[in-house]
Amino acid sequence: MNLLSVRDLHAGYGKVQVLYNGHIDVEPGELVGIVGPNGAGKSTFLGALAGSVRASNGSIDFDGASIKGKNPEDIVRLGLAMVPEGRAIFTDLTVNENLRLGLTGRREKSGAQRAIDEVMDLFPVLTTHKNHQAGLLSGGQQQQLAIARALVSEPKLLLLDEPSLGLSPTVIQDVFGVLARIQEQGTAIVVVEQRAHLVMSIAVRTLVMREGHIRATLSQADAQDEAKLAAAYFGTGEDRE
Amino acid sequence: MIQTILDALSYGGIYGLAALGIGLVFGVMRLVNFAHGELIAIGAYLLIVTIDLGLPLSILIAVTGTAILALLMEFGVFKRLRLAGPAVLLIASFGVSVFLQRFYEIIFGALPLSGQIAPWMAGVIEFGDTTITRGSVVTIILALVLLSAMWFFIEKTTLGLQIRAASSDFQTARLLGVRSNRVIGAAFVFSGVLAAAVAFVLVTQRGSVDPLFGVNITILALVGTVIGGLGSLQGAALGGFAVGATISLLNSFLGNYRVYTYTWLFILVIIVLLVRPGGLISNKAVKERV
Amino acid sequence: MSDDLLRSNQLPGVTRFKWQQLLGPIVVVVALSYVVSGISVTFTFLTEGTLALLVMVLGLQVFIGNSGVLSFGQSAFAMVGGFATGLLTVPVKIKENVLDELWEPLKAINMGIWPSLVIAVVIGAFFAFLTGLFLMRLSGLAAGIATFALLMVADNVFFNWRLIGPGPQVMPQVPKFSFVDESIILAVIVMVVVYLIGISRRGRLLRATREDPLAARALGASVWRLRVLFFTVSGGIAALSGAMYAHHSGAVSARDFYLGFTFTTLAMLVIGGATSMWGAVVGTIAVTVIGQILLEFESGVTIGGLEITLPNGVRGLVIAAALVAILIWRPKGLTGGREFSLRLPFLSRP
Repeated sequence: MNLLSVRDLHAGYGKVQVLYNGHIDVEPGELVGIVGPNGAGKSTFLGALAGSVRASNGSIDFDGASIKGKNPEDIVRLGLAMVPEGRAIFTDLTVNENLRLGLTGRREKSGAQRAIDEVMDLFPVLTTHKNHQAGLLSGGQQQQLAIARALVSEPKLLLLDEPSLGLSPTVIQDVFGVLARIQEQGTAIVVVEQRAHLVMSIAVRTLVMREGHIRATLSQADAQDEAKLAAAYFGTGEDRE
Repeated sequence: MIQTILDALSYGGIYGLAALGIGLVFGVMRLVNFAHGELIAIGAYLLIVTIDLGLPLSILIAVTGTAILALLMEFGVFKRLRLAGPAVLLIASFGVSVFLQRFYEIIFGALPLSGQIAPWMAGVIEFGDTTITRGSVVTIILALVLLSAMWFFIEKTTLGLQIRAASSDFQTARLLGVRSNRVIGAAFVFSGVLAAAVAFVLVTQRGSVDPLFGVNITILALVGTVIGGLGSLQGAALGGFAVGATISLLNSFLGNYRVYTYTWLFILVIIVLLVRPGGLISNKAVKERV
Repeated sequence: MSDDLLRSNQLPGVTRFKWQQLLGPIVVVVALSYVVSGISVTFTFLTEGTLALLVMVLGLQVFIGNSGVLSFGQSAFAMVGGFATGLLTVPVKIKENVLDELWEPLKAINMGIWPSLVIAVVIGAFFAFLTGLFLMRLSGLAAGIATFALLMVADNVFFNWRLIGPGPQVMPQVPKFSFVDESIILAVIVMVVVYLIGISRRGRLLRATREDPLAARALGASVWRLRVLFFTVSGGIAALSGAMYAHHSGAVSARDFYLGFTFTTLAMLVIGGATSMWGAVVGTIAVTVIGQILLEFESGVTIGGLEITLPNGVRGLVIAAALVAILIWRPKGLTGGREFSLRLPFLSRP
């Protein structure tokens, strides 16, 4: 059974529609990528899943129930956590306080300390800076904090919006290495990226978005095929839908 | 001289409490609540009407009543305007403010209602040659206690942490599971409690309450929150304190020219908004939600 | 999230001059004014006062409605206008007797109502221009608070500075208008000005910045220039309103234009619909009618043998409640922010 199943999703801001006919399926433990140029509607798609962008049409089923129209604060409690674009950590708060905020989204209040210990294992650097202001961390550390903060709610599905934004290549490698480890622990992941290659190498499937539509779904094998990728990305050749 | 300093401190404390009450609500929902003055007014009315029941009970009723009215504002009006921008919220709170003023006029009459709340506060304490009023000392202590309590609540409790998070980035806080209605409700309740404390001090000083009781202090406390930096709680409290202390000192030193205190104060507000939109004290920029 | 009351269904740029949009409101205002003022002397007085308020609401509309920037500052310019015309027209003898601290050159001046109105408008517009140069750098909440601070400064100065007025007292013996026609003519002129400037190229440009913050940013400095221009016009109109009020009531004081006045006129604008000239007209009429009916009830009305007397304060309470209700359920106002149209509202496409 699919963990996440989205059909015919339309979303936007006010009268401006940004996402048309969005669809995606994610099984438990899968890592699925969404790529496409700037302004393709990727972030809007994720926002609609997390409840921060209003979906006007279509269906979003998560873990056997519809979550369309639910508040973000309720959706996270169902096990769908989001790491927003630009990390969005609270720079005035300490690392520890940021993590404590992440606990808000847990369904069960027990096991909170264990969850924090686990992410500290995953990101040892956060232990060192536990009581420092989060704004003082480097970009890569902030991204790790943002992911850790989402993980302490022990989600079944983690959404990441442009995790590589503003990071150096080595740091990006680290972050994506961590994603693989999170996936190994059984958490499904959906990653939005502009840098298509980063995602496609680790994703089981990758959706290619352009101008608010999903133009193609590429398998891991397709990702090696430059011509196919370029066709999907830039709209040369026929659109597969 | 000592009395002048104590007066400045007590004025500053009271304006700081009022500004913090406004700042709390502004932080979580970008609402500049003009109607905060009417929360102060209901606190004063409740104190005067129930003072015969004894001071402790009267204070309890006033604090509870003010907090309930604050929640009623949220549920009756502001909760229905969640999607509106700050300018609309500002106009709406102006409407709520006038609505409540007229409501008080209908219930309690347009004329001031007098009553003696804690008359012992008017007495003096003597230290050798210098005498100081009890009221200013009690006010300073009350302000210190409440500001410390608020500091503890905001810095040390989970709900306080959520309020801080929601104040700096509401969308992200919600994504993490912070319940927006709960946080906003809490902010209103605490702004109500702070308003009741302000009401207590003001009504013991003035000895009467009328429908426009809270208007003046609210406008000035608003100045404090702007100067301190909208969106920063410490900034709001400090800004309010600065405004209160400044007014008190100017009143002592300016003599006949003190009638123009407001002119300079509000020109300062405009300059601050133009030059440092984030406020004088706080470095944080005001982030208006788009 | 948006400031909904400041947006309209009329897309920027598509607003073209239509005779019915201009003449409709004018016919309504003129006809209503003559009918109501014909009832009795009391109603003539009411009509004049309402026309002064209408001019104020139109002044608010031309700035707030077109720019989308909230302003409480226009009351300050109404104050300026009221004081200016008072100082220019009150007989010299009265000034010497009542306003003894007045600046000497001001004591000597005296002129008729019409030249004085022109000067009042010019002074009001000048002050709006001067303050606008600074204030129009701000938008959103900061603009709201800064213009509110402007109102506070104006009130504080006029309430205390006896060199330029009566201070906390009232300036008496301001010559009154002789006929209601004068107020009607002035209101009609302002309606024409407000409508024409609204549909002008600059008006459409300014509205485009209101609808689309990105467009506003792209236009950059020219947004500031446009806002200063409209703020200046709006300040002149507000000054005219203050002056009309002075010649209507025969007296003027600082507190006439303070928070109560600011609230009433802003409520009228929002209730009618901030984005159209017709909205300003409808709001002014609606609030006045409701207020007048409730005023009757406050002094006691007998219906079918039953005497009903509402307590004082109900009038303000109902108007404030109406404002809040409109913001919640019909944020574009009674007119939906649209201009006058002969078609029934529910037949026109949104």
